[in-house]
Amino acid sequence: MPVRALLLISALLASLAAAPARAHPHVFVDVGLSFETDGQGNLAWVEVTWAYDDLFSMLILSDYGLDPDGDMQLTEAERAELIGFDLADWPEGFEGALFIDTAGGKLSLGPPESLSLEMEDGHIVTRHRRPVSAEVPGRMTVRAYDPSYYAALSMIGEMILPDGCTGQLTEADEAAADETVENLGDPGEEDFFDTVEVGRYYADTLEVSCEPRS
Amino acid sequence: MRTALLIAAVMIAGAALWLWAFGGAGDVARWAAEGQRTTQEAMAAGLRALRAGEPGALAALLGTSFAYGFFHAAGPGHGKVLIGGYGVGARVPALRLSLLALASSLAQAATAVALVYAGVLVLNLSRPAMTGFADRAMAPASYGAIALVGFWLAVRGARRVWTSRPAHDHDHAHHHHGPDGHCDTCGHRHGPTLEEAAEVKSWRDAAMLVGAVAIRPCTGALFLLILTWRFGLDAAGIAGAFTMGLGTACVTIAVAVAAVTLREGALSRLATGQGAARALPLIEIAAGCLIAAIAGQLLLAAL
Repeated sequence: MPVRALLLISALLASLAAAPARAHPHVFVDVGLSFETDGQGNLAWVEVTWAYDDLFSMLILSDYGLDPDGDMQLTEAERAELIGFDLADWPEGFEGALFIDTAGGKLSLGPPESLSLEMEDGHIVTRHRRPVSAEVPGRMTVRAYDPSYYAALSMIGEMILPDGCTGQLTEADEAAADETVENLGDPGEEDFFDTVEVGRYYADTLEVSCEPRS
Repeated sequence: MRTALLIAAVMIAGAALWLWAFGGAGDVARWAAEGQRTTQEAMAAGLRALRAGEPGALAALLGTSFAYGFFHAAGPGHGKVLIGGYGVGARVPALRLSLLALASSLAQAATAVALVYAGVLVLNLSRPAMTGFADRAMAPASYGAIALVGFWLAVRGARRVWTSRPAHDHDHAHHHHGPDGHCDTCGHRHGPTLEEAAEVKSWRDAAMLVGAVAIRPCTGALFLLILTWRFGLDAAGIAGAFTMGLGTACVTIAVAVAAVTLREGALSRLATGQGAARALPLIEIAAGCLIAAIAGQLLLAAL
């Protein structure tokens, strides 16, 4: 068999080896964050806003048997019934899709407390807050993502930072993410996907730097 | 004709190289994810319009479903691996493989309809239970089935390498093989021709391909079917699920045609007859192993 033919055949087989490890999301969420301090230079709460996409919002309302007229408006009673739906039953190990790294390590966030649920233009928008006790760090890296990538979170909502802090948002670089996902360890290893969750690599990143307290 | 095929094959190989070696797949994935998000929003709008009884709402919903299927398939997917891999690994006419791609996409839609209606009517399952079942049980089953098809292709290729070895020593210079595989002068056959091999395996292969893809329903189709069932719009939802399948089929058919073109282009470089006949089982083994490896990886991810 001519060498050229062998090369051609290997090229066409190589072209098949698509990036198979990639998941694709089914829920899209816009995330907003607000950092609240105690006024003494300490972080007190992180407030999280999640705005769900239209289809998933519709699905949730119908799961709960709400909004029977389908106008995507809720009565007061319906809102009261639904509030906290996305905070109940967090699976074990689920960290609320929010990860804050500082020089001193990962910030530990307390259990979520529901604040509100509104319907905005056909979207369910929920707010909750989580306690945190730490000094406002000099720098922190904030990422909001679902490790399993079932939901794609975009940090395009409002970001309110402590006084004296500035933030720089970097969108996820999906091409780089794909490459990283493909190169993670050896897919032949049995626990490859148990230990590696891809969502992290599709996450937007907010780099926050704060002036030292005077 | 051979030159045209070769040019086509080189172009497809180039596109594949761009996709996977130079980050093109990332761009496509991003474009597909954006498209999926947009169509997901549009689908919600279509459902609202349909529920409100607005004129033209059904057409809008079907159009959106088609686009959703298309974008969904343009992202990563197990169906394309199998259809593409089969097209490269086994000698199958482009039209037949395209029909198989279409059939598997529609069968996948049928699975979604069956799951949702069995789920709500017979088993009284909640929405998370149904989508969870699809993700945790049906997806791994499909990947496992695809890996088995790949393994089967590889085994078949290996068996053909084995059986194509001359069983007894005779001098090929002294007789001539007719196109039907008959040896004109010695009166016996040295094995099935390429065309016969393709014929014999076609129905069984067709069932395997379609079945392996169809076991796993698309989550988007489940969302649509569950919503339309709850809204009392069953017919629109079922039509939407099949339209989604048609959108998906556009992509898998493109993959099928590309795979066959690529393969035939590569084969046209080989000396006709003997060279091609010897290369065929080797390609089949390699493609089969590749399908099995990729599906096995997906299976591990899903377990």
